[in-house]
Amino acid sequence: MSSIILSLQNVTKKFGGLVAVNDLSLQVKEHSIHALIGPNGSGKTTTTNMIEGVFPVTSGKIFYKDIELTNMKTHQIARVGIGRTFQNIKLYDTMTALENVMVGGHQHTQLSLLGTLLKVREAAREEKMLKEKAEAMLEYIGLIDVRNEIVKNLPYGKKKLLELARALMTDPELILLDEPAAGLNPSERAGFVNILERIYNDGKTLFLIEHNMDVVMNISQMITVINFGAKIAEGTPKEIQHNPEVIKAYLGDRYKVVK
Amino acid sequence: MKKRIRMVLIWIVILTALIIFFKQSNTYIQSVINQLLCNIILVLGLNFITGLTGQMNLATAGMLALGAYTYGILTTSAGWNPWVALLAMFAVGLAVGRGLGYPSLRLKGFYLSLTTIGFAEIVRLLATNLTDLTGGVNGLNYIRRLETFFYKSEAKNDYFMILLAFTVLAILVAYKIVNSKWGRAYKAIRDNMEAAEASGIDISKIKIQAFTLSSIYSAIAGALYAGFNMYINPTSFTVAASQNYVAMLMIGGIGSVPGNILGATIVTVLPELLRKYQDYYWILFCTICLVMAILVPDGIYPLLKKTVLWLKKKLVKKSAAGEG
Repeated sequence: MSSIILSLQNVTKKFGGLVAVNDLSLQVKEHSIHALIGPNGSGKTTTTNMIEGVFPVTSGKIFYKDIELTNMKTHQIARVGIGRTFQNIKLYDTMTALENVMVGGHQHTQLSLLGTLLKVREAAREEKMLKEKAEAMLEYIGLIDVRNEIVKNLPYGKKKLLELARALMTDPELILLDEPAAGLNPSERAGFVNILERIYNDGKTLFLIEHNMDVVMNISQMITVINFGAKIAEGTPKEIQHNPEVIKAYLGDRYKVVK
Repeated sequence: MKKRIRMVLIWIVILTALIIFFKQSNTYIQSVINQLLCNIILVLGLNFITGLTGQMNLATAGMLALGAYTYGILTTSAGWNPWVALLAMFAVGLAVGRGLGYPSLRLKGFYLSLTTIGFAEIVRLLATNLTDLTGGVNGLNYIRRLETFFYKSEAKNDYFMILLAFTVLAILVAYKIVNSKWGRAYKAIRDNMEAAEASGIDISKIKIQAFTLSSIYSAIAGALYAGFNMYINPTSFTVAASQNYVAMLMIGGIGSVPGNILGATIVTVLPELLRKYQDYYWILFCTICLVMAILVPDGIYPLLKKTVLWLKKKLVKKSAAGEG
């Protein structure tokens, strides 16, 4: 029995009178691919934002292993070992691809501002370490040939990959992916799924929010379905495909015939 | 390594040329050069917060005034040694950076601009009205200059060398910071705050750090400015002056150290060159700035860089074609 890496305990989020997430509990096992699905407006992104500390929770608790994330700030949560990618790509547009990834490594560096200025040799070593690691990361993700391109000139698919590389640079154990396959064409999507599987095989835990059923059904081991902010089903892809409530709320009748 | 030696050589040539030029010039040109050096330090400081971190700061004149007045008061009525007074600039910078940095964490865009204008105006009004301390509209006189151990630098000539040394130091430090992980963190905040946070960057800390750096630079520039004029009064520290510094930043090229130097030079020297048009010089200068803002919104330095790269490519192609 593998241990739990992320657990949400009765988490509720209210925006004024609107209940976005209602008494949601879920547990992500260490070294697994867990997907969160649901119709538009069901509270998926709100859930990610609460895990990441962007919004405070109204009630309930969130744990990463034994660490309570509930009242931590976003940057502290990132340092605990959670990386994320965004639904709408959020990169540093004016910098090169390599620099973008290097920013991801900032949290692991030691030197203070004064240290950077005074300890010349150490600073150079740190910079070299960051650069080499970022290059290795770009190599891993298959973007090494565009490392010196300014990010705003890159095509959409490569930007998505670059976001993933930046998230990996923070050395996370758990990666939250907010709609990783959105806007990718089928071949790009297949490439992306391959990379996700490789990341999983290298020991990371993936928690993804996704609309694309090809991706979800193919790679996830566990799926949680939410609707109107509440959990309506949880199980393996097969169980979810046959769950009448999920079909009614989300998948549609077409998925009944899938064997 | 070879590149580094070449850089050092280029620097030595530029500095020697500047020193020789300075020694041969008349007092008017000398004072323009001194002003230019102060402005370069100031713009390098402004670059941290406005250029890299993207927080519009119109309090530069206020920060400059705080530096200049603190230095002025410490070296006149308090009777401190100018070097010790200069060290106090770090304290001023830290205090202003934190004092202005914390409220600005919650503000963005126009609101931040307004707050910083407010800060600069408060400083200016205090300088005008705290007559006992600052001399009010009459200003502070007999401000002492930094002196080296070797000679008394009463003459402007020698003070120039000290100013130059500080400018070179400021450029080196700025260059180092801009091209380090800190420069990247600042730019990350400017480009995308949420993503920077998700990468584990403590936005509040870094923003305050950039503010602090900026105000330390400004305070030191203020002290050096007070030193070379030996006299200050509140009319030099208006909002218009702050806008001028932002113009230097924009015209040269936001974010890069050579761009800052270029911008400071253009905005300081160009009005002086246009002075022969007398009544029209300021309107000419403003028109030139406006045209530049429209045609080269990224600043002149990136444009120069692109042109050089393009020329290089052309030359390589030509020589390749010649050989083929």
